[in-house]
Amino acid sequence: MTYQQQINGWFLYLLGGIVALFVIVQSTVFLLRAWKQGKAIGMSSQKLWTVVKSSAAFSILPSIPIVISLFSMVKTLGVPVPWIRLSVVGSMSYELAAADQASKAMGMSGISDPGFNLGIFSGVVFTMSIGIIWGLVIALFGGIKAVNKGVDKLSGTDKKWGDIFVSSLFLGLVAAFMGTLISPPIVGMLKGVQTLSQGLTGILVLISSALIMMMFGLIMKKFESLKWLESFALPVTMIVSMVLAIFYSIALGGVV
Amino acid sequence: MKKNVQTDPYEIATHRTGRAWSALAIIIMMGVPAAICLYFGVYPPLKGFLMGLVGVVSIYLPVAIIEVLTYSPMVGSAGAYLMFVTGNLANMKVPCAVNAMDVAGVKPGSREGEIVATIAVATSSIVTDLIIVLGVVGLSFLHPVLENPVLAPAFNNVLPALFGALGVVWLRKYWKVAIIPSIIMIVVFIFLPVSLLGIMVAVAAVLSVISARILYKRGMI
Repeated sequence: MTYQQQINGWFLYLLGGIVALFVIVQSTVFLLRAWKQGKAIGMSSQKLWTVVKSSAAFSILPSIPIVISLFSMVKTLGVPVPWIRLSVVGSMSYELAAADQASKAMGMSGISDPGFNLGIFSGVVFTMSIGIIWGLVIALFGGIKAVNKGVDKLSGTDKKWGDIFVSSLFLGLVAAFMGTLISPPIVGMLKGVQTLSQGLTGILVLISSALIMMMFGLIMKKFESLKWLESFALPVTMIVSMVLAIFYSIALGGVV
Repeated sequence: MKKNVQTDPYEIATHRTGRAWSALAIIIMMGVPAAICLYFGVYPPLKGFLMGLVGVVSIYLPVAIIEVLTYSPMVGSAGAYLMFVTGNLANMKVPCAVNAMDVAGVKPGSREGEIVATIAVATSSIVTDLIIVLGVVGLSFLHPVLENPVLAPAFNNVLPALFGALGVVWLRKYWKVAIIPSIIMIVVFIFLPVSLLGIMVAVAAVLSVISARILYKRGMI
């Protein structure tokens, strides 16, 4: 059996099936548990359904780049292992970086090296799994409990400050992403390592997406009958902005 | 209604359930490479393997600590336990939960917020899992479509499309809070590589909380 046949064999697909099933079962258990509790504290089924629908609609687009990152790992790691790794903790950027670093430490030139064998393959899978397990380990030893208890104490009985506190954490995340989305492309363009299209498309998409979302807000404010649109405002804005990305890229002289 | 994490029975049960599932997830995750070694009868070259592992862990252990500290309060306890099993936090689960709370009109950190965020993270995990399965099943068909160079700019710009839209919703609520952290982050990433995003999120979150506290104390928000 060749290396490719081994890493694409039934045994690894079986492992993939177990992992994917585990994620779906756990998610379903948590969903039903929260639903039951939501009903118990007086939330309507209609409201809870809105959450399910808007979250499902939102999750489709950001999942596509995950599938694309799966393709980029298939050549050396086969289909089942990238499937497993992208189904549990981690993210596309992490899996690619960890696999690359692990394979280089074991003497390969990177994850596309034709010299991959099963020993190196097992080392890469071990590294990808151990490298990202720490959030779970911290959760297991009470980290989430301690943090949320701490935040509860910090916000005290002041409800308004509690809301601002958690919102400001999210704004921190938004600020950090803005930094990565705005500065590196501009620096890259100025240094001449990125083309106009590579540097500006993302920034234009960022601005367009913000404007489209604001337009959605205005429309829903003006027309009460369109309130149902709210659950889909974010996914629709994202689709339109991503289509615009194609046009911006072409207009800026990108590869077509 | 604000929840009380010390006495709320649902919250107490959440930690018990969450930790049990975390333990199971660790066993499953470690079981995969262990099963590969046992099934094929192979082992990684020890020295290179350990060197690679130390390199990866030294980056991602601090990132994990930061993620638990910053994301757990945003999505509540049950959502956090689930999120740390299913991954893709900053680019998917956290924005999904935050958007769901906004759509449902509930506050993060409240009892209703906790419920909404959990349902959002769970739904998102199931949808992503199913889409990856579709990707695996339809690999030969989807590969050329999704990797078509014409579509590349669209898929390369999912994050700007996401953060532009979601960012503006939250900036409209608390734009004053975001000014200082945003300016500092834009300056920071002129000099630092994007790979440090995981660490810089914590810096931005701390800056953001400090700036919120000052504005709140002065009655400006």
